[in-house]
Amino acid sequence: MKTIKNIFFLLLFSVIATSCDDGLDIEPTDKITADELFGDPEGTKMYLADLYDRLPIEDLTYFPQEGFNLNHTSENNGGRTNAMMTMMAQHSEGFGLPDDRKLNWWEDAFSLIRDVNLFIDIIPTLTGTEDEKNLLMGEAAFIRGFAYFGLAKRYGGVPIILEPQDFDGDPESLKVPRNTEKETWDFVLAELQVAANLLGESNGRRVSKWVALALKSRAALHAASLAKYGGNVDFTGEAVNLGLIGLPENTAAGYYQACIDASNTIMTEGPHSLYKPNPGSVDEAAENIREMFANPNLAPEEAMLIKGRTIGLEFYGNNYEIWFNPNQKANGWPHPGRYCPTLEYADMFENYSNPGVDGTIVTTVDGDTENYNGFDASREYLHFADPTELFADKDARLKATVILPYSEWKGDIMVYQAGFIKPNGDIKIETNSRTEVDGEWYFTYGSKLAADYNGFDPSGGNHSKTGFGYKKFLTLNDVVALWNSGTTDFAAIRYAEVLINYAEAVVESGLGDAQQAATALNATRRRAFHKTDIPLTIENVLRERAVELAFENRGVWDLMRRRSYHTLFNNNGKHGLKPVLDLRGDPPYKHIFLRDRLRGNRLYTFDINQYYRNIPGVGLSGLVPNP
Amino acid sequence: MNKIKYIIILLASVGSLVSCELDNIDGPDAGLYGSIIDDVSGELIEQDIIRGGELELREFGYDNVSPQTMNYLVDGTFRDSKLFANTYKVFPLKTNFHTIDTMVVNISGQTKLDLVVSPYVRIKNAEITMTDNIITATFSLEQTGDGNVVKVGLYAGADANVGEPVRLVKKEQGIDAPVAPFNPIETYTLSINAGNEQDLVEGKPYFFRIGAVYDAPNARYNYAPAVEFMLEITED
Repeated sequence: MKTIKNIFFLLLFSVIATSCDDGLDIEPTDKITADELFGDPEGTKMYLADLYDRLPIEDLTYFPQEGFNLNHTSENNGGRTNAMMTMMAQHSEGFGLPDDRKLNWWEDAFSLIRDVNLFIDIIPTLTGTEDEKNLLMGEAAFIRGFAYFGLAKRYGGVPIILEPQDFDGDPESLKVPRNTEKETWDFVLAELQVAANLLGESNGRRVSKWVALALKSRAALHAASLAKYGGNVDFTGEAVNLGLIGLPENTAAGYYQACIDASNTIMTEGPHSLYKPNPGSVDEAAENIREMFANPNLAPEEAMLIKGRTIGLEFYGNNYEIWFNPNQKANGWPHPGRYCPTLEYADMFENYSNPGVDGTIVTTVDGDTENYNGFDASREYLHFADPTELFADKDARLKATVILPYSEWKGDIMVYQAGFIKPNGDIKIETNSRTEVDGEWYFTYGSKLAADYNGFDPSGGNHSKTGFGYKKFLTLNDVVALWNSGTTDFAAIRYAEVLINYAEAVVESGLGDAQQAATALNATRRRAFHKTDIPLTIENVLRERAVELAFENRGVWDLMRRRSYHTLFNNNGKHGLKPVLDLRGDPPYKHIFLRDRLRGNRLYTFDINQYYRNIPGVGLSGLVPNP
Repeated sequence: MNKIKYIIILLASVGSLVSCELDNIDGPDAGLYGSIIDDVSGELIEQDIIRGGELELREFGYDNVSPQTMNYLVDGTFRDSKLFANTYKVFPLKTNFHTIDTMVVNISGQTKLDLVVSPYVRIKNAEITMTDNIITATFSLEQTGDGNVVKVGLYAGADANVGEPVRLVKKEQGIDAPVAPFNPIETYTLSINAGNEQDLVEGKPYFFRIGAVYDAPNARYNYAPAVEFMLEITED
């Protein structure tokens, strides 16, 4: 009896214990399947919008050390941008040259590529007309081309993956070797051409065929420069031997031609033009240019692709307003004034009366602009009752992009002063001091309180080290002293860049139409109120490029692709312009300017290994590393 | 009393039973040292310590091994006393001498490895003198390859590690041509006027070194030994 009872309980127990509970077949309730997402056209748009957001657009939320879309929680990176790694600007607390921590973009890139590949596979199955699907294919090709452009310019040759990889349990099958650098650039250009062929003339704020061609123009110029100037740098190692880095010099002509063709199509067939190309005066030109950067939506004819920031909030806004407004306009934000355009930047701009050469700023009677030794009592300095007189003849774009000392910004005069010369000839520069002359007190930095001046005081990093303030992309609104509150949109590609790409490609290769290139080169100058044209030479093209595209996160890549970074920075420092109040003689007292080294005089040398970023994770993926 | 006894026993046992080792792997106990020696004169070939030549080591026994690099001292010697004992492939990179083949070295204990090589350029009859805070260097050159010497320079720095990469002031002269023995021997003169240089402060000692660089991929500078001078204080 007991045995039967035991058997009975045993059977009962075994039945209960092995009940068919389909616990592992329960569907997750917090994810939607691909069918559900793409069954609804709005879902497709959402997916596509996410891909757009992840494009490697180096906009106002891009920082070289932290990466893209840096605008969530308190992003305390100090506002260190690409331009501060070039001669054109400095961070008020210092920022060095590219190193292993900067300019990387690998895992996010391949994540984006995988998602685009998934999308490309799904497009044929969507509901919609052939035309609509072709448009989507075009956009997907653009995204994939842009992603590979971002990879190629950082790493050289990378694995070109055209299908989303399936994991079937064997990790070895997932390893894809790197393609050569030439194959990678060719793929980028081909993909962007596919996009241009499929896309329409306009697509709201999404990419059109002109945008694809403009990006192709940029990528082709990049590849062409690498081919032409790659010989300036000696790389050795396995990556070189396999062609994974380095383009053969004889490919340069082909890439320049691709740039010329793409730019030419936009210039002759496209609907784009420069914003307000014929201003009536220098001041009008400066204001036109300033307002275009503060709000690119004013210039749909020039801004070809705009990345928008709708609301000032976490994940949506940007931080240029708080980091980069000058100290006097901080409006309660404790860390302003980080962006310091250098004297090298200001020197570059042409003088209207002497076009075609750098308008190097002369501050002494002897005209020697190579002397950066600071104040020298034996030299005779030019005195200015109105300090802005020093810049009166300068290209309008200088004051459109930079706050000049003692100019007006948002209703107040911006004080930049480095020191004073006492009536007895003693000089106090960049050291906290004050002096009394005839009952009036004068202070080293121009005012008694730190909140009332913008320059040279080292405390807190809130004051300019160079004597110049930053203006490009800032709005005229009062600063909102909160993180991520800026809503300035950013033009990822501008028509001006297409013109300058064309000019550079023509002058470097000798192909294309030289006359058209000269017109293109001078078009952006005329927009800045220049009345005389300058000839098409490489120096003029490079200066115009630096002046027109300044602070748009381009300068670093120009130095990289032309292999001029290591010759530019070989134990070099940057320089500033120091206004000094001369209290000798009778009032009203005038200012002199010193061309001088920056406080601290940090010297930089570019390591040639930084022309290519290091590929992460090679131990696991087996990819050939970069030098 | 019993309680105290137990506490003592407890403490003693805890102390003796706790392992004091960090891990069970031995630290590096081998090393590599040596000199770079001129194959004709037998002297040391001076180097740069920063951004100068490197000795690349690749350890055997690992797939996709990441290479280690060692730097040289300014006087042309090198030493790394904390390597794991193993067989290594050793190869000098970014050299100021003609390339040599990769060496396979079994490093165990402190292993000596001398590189007897042919420098790209030799600086001969080097003389550096100072009068009135003007430092003048005279020298002639000899090359061992058949390419060009790119340029020569006089480099001033605050310590004996001065060189082209580590300098306060430089005075360079471009050559871009072959020198002796392909061209007649020429005496070069370079001078630095310390009074005009903001970075050279009167009354302080500075080191001055003559350098020359050859036209080869990744070539580094060849040097003559540095000379120290104390700048005089002038009355203004």
